[in-house]
Amino acid sequence: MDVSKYSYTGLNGALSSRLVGQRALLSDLTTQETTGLKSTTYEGISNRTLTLSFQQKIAQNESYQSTIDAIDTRLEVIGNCVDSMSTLSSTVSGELGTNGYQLTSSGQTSEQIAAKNALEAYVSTLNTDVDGTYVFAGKASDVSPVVDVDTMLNGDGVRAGYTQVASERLQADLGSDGLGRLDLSSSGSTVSLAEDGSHSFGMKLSGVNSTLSNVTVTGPSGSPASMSLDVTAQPTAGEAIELTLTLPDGSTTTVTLTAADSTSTETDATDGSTGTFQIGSTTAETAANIEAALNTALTSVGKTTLTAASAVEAANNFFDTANGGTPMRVDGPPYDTATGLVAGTSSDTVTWYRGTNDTDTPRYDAQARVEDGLSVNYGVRANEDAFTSQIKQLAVLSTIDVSSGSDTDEALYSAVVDRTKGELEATTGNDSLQSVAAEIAGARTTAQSASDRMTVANTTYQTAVDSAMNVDDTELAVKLTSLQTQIEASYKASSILYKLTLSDYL
Amino acid sequence: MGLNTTVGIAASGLKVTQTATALVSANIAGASVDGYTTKSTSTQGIYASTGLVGFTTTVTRAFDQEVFDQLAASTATSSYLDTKNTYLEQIDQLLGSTENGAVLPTALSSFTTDLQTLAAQPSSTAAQIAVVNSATVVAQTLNSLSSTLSDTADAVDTSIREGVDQVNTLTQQISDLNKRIVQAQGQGADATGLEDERDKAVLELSNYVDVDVKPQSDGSLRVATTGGLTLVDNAQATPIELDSSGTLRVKTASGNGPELISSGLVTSGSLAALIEVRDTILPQVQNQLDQTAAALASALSDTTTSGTAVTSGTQTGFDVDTSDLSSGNTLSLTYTDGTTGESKTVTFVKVTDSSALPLSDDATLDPNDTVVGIDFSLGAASVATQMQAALGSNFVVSNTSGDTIRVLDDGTGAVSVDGLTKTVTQTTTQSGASQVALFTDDGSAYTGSFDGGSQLDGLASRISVNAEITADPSLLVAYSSTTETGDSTRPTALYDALADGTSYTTLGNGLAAKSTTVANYANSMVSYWASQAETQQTLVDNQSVVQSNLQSRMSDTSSVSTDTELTKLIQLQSYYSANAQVLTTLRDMLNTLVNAI
Repeated sequence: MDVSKYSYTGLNGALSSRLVGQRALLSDLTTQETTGLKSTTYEGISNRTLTLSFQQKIAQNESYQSTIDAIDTRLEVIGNCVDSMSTLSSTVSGELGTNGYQLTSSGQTSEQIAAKNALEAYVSTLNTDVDGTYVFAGKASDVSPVVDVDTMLNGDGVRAGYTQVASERLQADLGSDGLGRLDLSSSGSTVSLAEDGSHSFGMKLSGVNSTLSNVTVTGPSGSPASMSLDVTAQPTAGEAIELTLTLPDGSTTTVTLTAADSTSTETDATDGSTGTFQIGSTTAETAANIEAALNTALTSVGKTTLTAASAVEAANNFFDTANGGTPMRVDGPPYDTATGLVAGTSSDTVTWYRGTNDTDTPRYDAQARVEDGLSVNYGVRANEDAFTSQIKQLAVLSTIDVSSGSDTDEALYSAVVDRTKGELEATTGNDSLQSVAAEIAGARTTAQSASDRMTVANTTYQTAVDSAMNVDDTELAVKLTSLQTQIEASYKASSILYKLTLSDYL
Repeated sequence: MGLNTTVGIAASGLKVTQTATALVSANIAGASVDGYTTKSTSTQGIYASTGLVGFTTTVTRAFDQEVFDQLAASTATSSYLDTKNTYLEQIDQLLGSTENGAVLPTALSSFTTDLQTLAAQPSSTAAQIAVVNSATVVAQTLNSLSSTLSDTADAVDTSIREGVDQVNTLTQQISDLNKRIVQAQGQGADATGLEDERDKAVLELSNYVDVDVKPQSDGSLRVATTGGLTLVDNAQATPIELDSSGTLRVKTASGNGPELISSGLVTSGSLAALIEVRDTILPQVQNQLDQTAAALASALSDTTTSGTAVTSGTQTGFDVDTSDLSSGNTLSLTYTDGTTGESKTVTFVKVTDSSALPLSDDATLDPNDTVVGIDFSLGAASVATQMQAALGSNFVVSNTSGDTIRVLDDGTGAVSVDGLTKTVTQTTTQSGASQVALFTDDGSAYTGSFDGGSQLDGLASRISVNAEITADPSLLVAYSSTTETGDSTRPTALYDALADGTSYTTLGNGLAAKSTTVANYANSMVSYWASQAETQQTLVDNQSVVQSNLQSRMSDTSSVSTDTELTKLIQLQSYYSANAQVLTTLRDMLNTLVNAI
């Protein structure tokens, strides 16, 4: 303890302690001027609780804004990618059907080549990364989500690609005799047509419409469905029987057989949709003719419409893996008598999508908190329906084999185009490219407006903090000047006082 | 009345003038000395039967005892306030400057920001490393604040020891001076210089303890504290000591003398202030730091899950599996009292050391719950028994199987069980839960254990970042062995817990516990000490006005005024000449007489 601070006589006088006090105040004001702050610790700040909490809020808002900046790039990239995919789809779908069936030297139509190129572009776009983070992979952002097109379509030697899955499916759908898993026979004057089992392969009998007189049509009924035609007497020429068949991809086709006599010159349609049968001399002969005509028609359907439907359904089996699913393949060999699908494993089938594939909503794979209580969700997976629906069509188009140039192949090609064009055009609506783009754009707008709000808020907070912590230069200058004057006056008075002593006058 | 008498008187007068002149020179010489009071002579005539025969002089001091008493009291108060102010200012500066931002809130804020960045980009290695770094900064800040407090406590201790030594020296000095003054006064000698010394010593003593002085009739001074402890009585000085546990006591042979602070014997002065700083203020700051560390560690590492609802006949209640509870983790039972409709909470705290029981109700800072410590070391069946005993007959507590505890009401409607939750600390980094013990207590998780003393005490000095996570920052994202790199579950959960999670904390010193976030608590700490320092500064400023007024008054009375002394000197000079002249005249007269014979 400094005792002399408390003494009452001697050298320490009240005047000197007051001078010292003024000096200390001067140095404090000088410190304020140099640092620009009213006090070096929070002791000297009025409203310190409010100031501290404002400073905390400012720091928090700045951190939100830096998050928003970081994800803005990513959102922009996703948006651009979706736009470019949309353009690819519309270009390909615009071209489809305009050139007819024109083979190039490679054995494919120009539209097929365009589809293959579009598929490459799709895969490359879906594998976009922003700073090493793959944006279409869900949570597994360190792995490129989609395998390359060659592996996807042709496999890697050990594991099967799409074309192998499709060819196995085609065998299952056609059956060993190419009739689409239907058993066709006739005995006497009865023709029987039946599905060969309860399974999802081949053609299914869904309905029959007959104007044939004297022919009793029974069915189709039962499970598996079967029907029979009993020729009780000869029908009249020109009457027809129309058979409706359901195909593996859910579409339907009809086979119309018209009774003809020897004067008919009609030819069978290449795709088996129409045909004729000769009215024979006996009912048995007519039945045999009906059987033969059905055989021809069904074989034609098999080579065209059924093949197209099979390829499309195989694409569904291979590519629809969303929500934790796996590629499905025909259970075999043997494939032509297969009765079920089996899940492909990672050792025998190519998994075309390698990103996050759990049952959570894809948007929640990537979340960012942009403001107190406000998050944006911007996770996207390449196996969402929006993208898969387009990839499937491109895969089917680019791999279907129509290289022979025959009428059958032309019909097949036309069936494929019919099936794929519609899907490629439909990029709007639920779960489509457009809806994904809209959701991502919405996230971006939300984040941006949060950032703007916080800029405004921070300005307000910062103004309040500055007024509490910073000195007012004018006020400080006035204080310093007046204090200086006071100190000078005190010094002058003290010096006069101490100079006056009697000893000078003795 | 003869000529001889006249000679005697004149000689006496010369002597008086000489004494007075000597005093004047002493005054002028002593004008700059601390504690020197103006001395003056008072002369009395000596009368014999024949009349005046001479003069005696006594030296008196210009001294106002009443003002001095007030000054001593004020000095003690000033010293007390100044000491306390010094340390409060130190604490305020320790916690943060306005230029760089308050230390702890800024570190917490950076950590929260980095967590948020990680939540938005979980796969970024740079973001993971940034979180580990800023967490390390937070832990190191808490560590260094604790260590500085500990150093300050050591310095305070040293000051207390020095103070005790000084007090003993001063009381001894005063008692010696008492003895000499009584002796001198008995012999009629001039004791004023000794009295000055004694007053100076008393004033120095009043820096350390508050004193009350009572002049005795024999010239000695009785010095006691305002609380009634006699420090000096005539020649007896009472020594004080600091015992091994740091308590201030009167020194006795047995070591059990009365305690000075707790019994109110000493209430002011720097010793009282230092003891208050050491025993109340510094521990309060340390406790606040410990609570910050605990709230931070728990927010990130604790998961609260509800039990499964069960019914058994008319009884309803909950099952909870207690196998993952660590020592210090809790089960919280909420129920509604059937008669009053009030909702009540009982918190069961796991202990494994039975000597820690019973736990006091403020083992959890929540003011609305009842705390029961349960010893888990004897198995789940014993746990159920203990819980049953604590809850009473309105509940049915059983151990259904393994470690599952079932709490049901008794089916009569007297109470209805609303919920049973357990709060568990995650002790491994990849358990599949999104919480993780990012901050550890010297390598093990902080669980709030009471075994062997409260784990909370001193936590701020031991807290550090989990070494596993420092070695592998990707554990901030990978909450299980199959977590994908872009999965933001864990960082988001940690951020939410830190930014929005509240827990009960108190600023101490009788203030109520409030439920608030860690960041708000850190801010309120800074704010609290800043306002304490501000208040204290105001008190110091006010007291110093009083002190300087009293000093002025003492100074006015007792200080040497050089002008007055010089004036006296002039007068004395002429008196001396006059006396000498009288003697010369008398000599001439005597000579005339002698020559005439």
